[in-house]
Amino acid sequence: MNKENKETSRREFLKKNVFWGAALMISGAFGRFFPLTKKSPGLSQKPGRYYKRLAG
Amino acid sequence: MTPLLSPKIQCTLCPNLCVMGDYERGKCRVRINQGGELFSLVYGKPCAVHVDPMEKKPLYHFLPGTGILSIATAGCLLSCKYCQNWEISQAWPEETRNLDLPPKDVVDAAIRSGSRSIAYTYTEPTVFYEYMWDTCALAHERGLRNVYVTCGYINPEPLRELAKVMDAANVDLKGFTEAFYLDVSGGHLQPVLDAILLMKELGMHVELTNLIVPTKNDDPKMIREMSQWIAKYAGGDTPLHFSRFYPNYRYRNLPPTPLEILVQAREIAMEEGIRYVYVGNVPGSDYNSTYCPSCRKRLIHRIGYEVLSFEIDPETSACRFCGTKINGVWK
Ligand code: SF4
Repeated sequence: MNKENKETSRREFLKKNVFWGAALMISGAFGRFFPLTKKSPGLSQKPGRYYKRLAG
Repeated sequence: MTPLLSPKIQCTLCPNLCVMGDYERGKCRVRINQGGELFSLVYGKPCAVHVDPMEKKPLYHFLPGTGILSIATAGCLLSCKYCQNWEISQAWPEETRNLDLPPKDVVDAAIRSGSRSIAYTYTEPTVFYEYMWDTCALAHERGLRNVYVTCGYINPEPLRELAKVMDAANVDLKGFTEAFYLDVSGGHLQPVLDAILLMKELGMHVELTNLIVPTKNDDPKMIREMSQWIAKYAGGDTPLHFSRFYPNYRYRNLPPTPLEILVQAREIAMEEGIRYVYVGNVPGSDYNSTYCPSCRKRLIHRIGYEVLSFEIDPETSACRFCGTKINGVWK
């Protein structure tokens, strides 16, 4: 199934299943606030290789 | 007097050779000039971590049937209109959900998962070069192998350095004309060809993938010219995967590649002397399996990503039926 089809069928599923739709939204929000994996909000600041400074 | 702005720098990692003013980023979005020095914004910050079968990379002649921990960060050097991972490759690193996973943790995770290798893949791993290099070095110390799934858009000096710690590569050779490269990916063809040959010269195991997009790069003449180049310069032993396109990103208007086109491309490549030619993204196809170029017997039977039988002697790399040497890393 391509991504658009997946999106459409997900929307249809949510429309038809209000209870499960709500449950999914709550679990999604739960996952956002209490992620199971360690997420890092920042980016790294690691010196990179292979560059040169340009004059001027 | 101290200048208000720091000097411009030029990144020489890939052929884009981006020139960056202070606090500007390169085309890949993940390398930045800060105070006249270059920094990587994605070191240890992968946005995708999975355990895949080796066949998914696709590598068919490198430790078949084994698991491979696969990582990617945001960013890419090119901007292919059919990118299958555009949500992360064309994203800024702030837009992806990143993990905090330094090289040691990647290697630990690979070992815990039972993987025998680590793949740097999904987006373009050259953009996270420093992270990849350090992880590769640690992986070698712990007895793991490394796989580079790349568009081959990298300059010779960093590639030479990378080859010290990289065992295998699958290079996406997207087409065989400069016009196609410029139009579809925003890059150039020649640096990719140069990188493929340099990887071979440096002793890496190399396989090539060509994703065939209907009406864009399915011209049999172009496929023949590409196959001739591969046979002549990279060698007829180089495994070649013709991969099926599915509508994605900016090419949602095009249909999936018809099977006949893929089969025809395979025939052309074999006529030109390439011995191991596969049809990818078509589960159940007979052309997913490996056949001996001499006795024609099936040596590796694949269905999808599953390896069902294996008839190559891993010690001698020879066909178990006729003894012909089969190019690859089998143990
Ligand atoms: S690696 Fe990134 S910053 Fe460096 S030249 Fe390539 S696109 Fe530009």
